[in-house]
Parts: sequence; structure tokens; C-alpha cells
Amino acid sequence: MKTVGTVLVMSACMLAGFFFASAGELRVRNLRALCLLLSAMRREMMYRQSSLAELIKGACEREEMKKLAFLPVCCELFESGEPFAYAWRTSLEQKGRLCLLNGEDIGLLCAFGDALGTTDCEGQLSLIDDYSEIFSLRSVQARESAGKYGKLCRSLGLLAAAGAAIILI
Amino acid sequence: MKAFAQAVGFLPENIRAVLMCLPEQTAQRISEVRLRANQPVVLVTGASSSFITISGRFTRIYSDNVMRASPEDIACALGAFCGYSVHSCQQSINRGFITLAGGHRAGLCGTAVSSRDGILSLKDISCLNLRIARQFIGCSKPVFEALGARVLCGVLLCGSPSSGKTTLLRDLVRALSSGEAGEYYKVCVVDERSEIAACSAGVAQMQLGPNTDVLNAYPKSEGILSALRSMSPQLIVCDEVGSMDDVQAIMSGLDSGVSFIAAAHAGSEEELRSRTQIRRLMDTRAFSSIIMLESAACPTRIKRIYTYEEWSGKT
Repeated sequence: MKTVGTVLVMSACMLAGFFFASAGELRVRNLRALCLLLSAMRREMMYRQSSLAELIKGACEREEMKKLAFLPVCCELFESGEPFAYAWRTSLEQKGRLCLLNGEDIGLLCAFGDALGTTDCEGQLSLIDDYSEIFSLRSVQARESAGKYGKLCRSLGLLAAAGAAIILI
Repeated sequence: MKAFAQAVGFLPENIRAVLMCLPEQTAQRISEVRLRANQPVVLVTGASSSFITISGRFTRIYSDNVMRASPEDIACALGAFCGYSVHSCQQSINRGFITLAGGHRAGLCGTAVSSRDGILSLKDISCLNLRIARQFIGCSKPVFEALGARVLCGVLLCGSPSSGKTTLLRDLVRALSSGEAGEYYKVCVVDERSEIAACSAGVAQMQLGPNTDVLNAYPKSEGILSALRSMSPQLIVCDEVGSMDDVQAIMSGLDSGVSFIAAAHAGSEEELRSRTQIRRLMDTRAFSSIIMLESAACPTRIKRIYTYEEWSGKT
């Protein structure tokens, strides 16, 4: 019984370490997907002047953006007749955390959604450029921190497992 | 009622809810819903304007009890009109209107931001006019009865605003393309303002028959030339002709053996004759008949038909 308990505690410690390490990597991937979304939006606006409905629907269908779980919710709400800013904000509030976006990311995205579709094409392109830059930077920072803290989390998990084994045995 | 419900669906919830309380018969007569910031909501039926009370009663009397639109209502409606995508409708907004799904049209008034090249944008939009599009299948029958095969020799429809020019034009397209004139004619619609076909996401929202091609949002003259080059039409249909570019494009079409059916703004024969471009247009002999329509009180009703000979004999 004691051995089983020890094994379980050790597994839990290791899993926690690996979970926090992979969460950082997932956040990097999601931020990259977000950057891709912004650059796709820019292209669509620049060459086709696509409406937000077309942009969001198109983004939902793209494989590389499937990680962004808030997009289908936003699309659904928008198609049901809700104003875009509300649909965008609500979807982020519901699914933003699931995409491993932190409070600051969500706040930035909400502000972006409030301004999206409210000005002419030039204004929109400049808005997207500004937010692309912000999220590229955040993506770089997240990658660095994932590299740094990922190793630390894994090591801590293993160390905690070993510590628990020593104490329990 | 379907067209009315679809059109008012673009309005803010508070206004929509009151408008949807109107009896079906009244709703069917409404052709325009006008919103002005801090002013009452005006409903236009035929040539007269009316109001709606907060409780949803249709009234011709202006009182404190009538429903008003706030600046927030205008902003909310504008957002819905352009699908929350101002960037997609900027050109349209600059020209003062947005075509909505279903063919409805929202006219806009605000403060123009201009440069030497024209209007850059429209700000502080404070007045909206939602024109409800309805298709009256068969309204072109009197035209065919009066003109017969001469419809194919070119027709110019003239009338004052809201006299039903576009509605009649649309039904002529449908009838010609669907074989009601004895043949399935190849018709090209150059729909500069997206009013005839009311294309939404590239699909015509109005019935235009099985043999109609739509050049949506093309400038008229470029659309006519493009249709001539690529679609080999038998008839080209366009709304609100009048510029010199239009005249030149129509002349190119005539050289290619294509007939034209078009519409132009003119409240009376005198007004029509006083417009230089229209005179030039008639001189091209593109139109063998001119149809003058009655006023907004009885849309699509024909007032008088002139043949080209009658027209030119008078000038």
C-alpha cells in the first residue's frame, strides 16, 4: 500500500512538472497561431476587403488556427446576430484561458476586437500591424520563458518526485 | 411582411421590437424607415410620412409619445448595416449608401471629410434611411403589353425618386431572361449600386431569371464595356445612367449590336429634356422608347410612353 502511494505521489509530482512545462510550449504555439490569424486578416483585408464575418469564418476553417478555441464561439455568436465586439469579447472570456492565453493577452485581444471593423481599410491595416507587433513580441517572450521555465518545471517535477520518494520510503 | 422583417432586422433591438408590433397590412405599405439622431423614427408609406408611438401604434400625428432614435441607435444600426466591417463598405459609405442583404438599401447622412480627390470618409453619421426592397413579380407586364417586341430595341425608364424605376427594371430583366418575351434572352445587368440584383456575398438576392449575368458594383461604363467584351449579351441593363462615360459606353454597345434598358432620374418630361446628358443619350438612338413613370404614390405605374420619333419630333 505504501509503495503504491509513493508511486502515485511521485507520478503526480512528475506529471505536474511536465504539465507546466508543456503549458508554456502550448502557449507559444497558440500565440504563433494568433500571429498567423492577424497576418491572414491583414492579407484578406488588403486584397479582398473581406468583412469580419468572412474573416472569422475563413479563420475557423484553417487547420493551423484550430488551436484558437475561441474562434468558433465568436463565429457562432456573430452569425447569430450579435455585434462583433460582443461576440469576440464573449468568446475570449469563455475560451481564452483554454487557449492558454493569460489575462493580459485576453485584455489586449478584447481591445483589438473593439477596434476591429470600425475604420477604413488603412486604419484596419495599421491596427493589425500594431497588434501583430505586440503579439510577435509576446510570442518571442513566451518562447524564451517556455525554454527557461520548461526545463525548470520538468527538473522541479523530477526533484519533487525524488524528494517525495525519499520522504515516503 | 418578410421583406419588412428582414429590413428592420438590421435596426437596434429597441426600435426593431416596436416596429415588429405593427399590423401586417401597415408593415407591407412601409417603403422607408428613417432614423435621425434625437428625432422621431419616421415611416414612409407612398408619398406620406408617419410616426410610430412607443407602444407600437402607427400614427400620422407628431407628439411627445412617438418613438425617437438616439445617437447610439444610429451607431448600432450603422454597425449592423455594414456587418461591423466599415473597411469593407468604405467606398459605399463615401457614396452615401450601403446595400444590405435582401436588396434593402441604407442611405447615410453625416459630415463629409473631403480632399481634392473627393469625399475621403463620412463621419458623425446622424441620419439613416432604410429603404425596403420588394420585388413585384409581373409588374413589367404593362410594358410588354404596350411595347411588345420594341422592348428589345432599347427602353429608357424615367421617373422621380421612389417611382419604381429599379423595381420595374428588375422585373423586365426577370421577364426577358426567363422567356416571358418569347425567348430566353441573354441579359447582363451592370449593377453599380447593387440595387437591381441586390447581390450579397456574390449571390443575387432578387429573381432575375435563368439567363442573367450580374456585374456587381462595377462602375457603369466599365461594367458595360466588360460585359461587351466577355459575356456577349443580347441586352444590357443598368440603373441611373446619365454621365458622359455612360453615354460613350452605351455607344460602344450599340456598335456591337447590343440593346439597352436603363433608368434615369427625371420627375417630368421637361426635366428629362433639360438634362444635357439625357439628350445626348437619346441622340445615340440607344432607346426606341421612353417610359415616364407616375410619382412615388403609385410606384411602377406608367404615366406615358414616348417613342423615339415622338421624342425627337418635339425637340
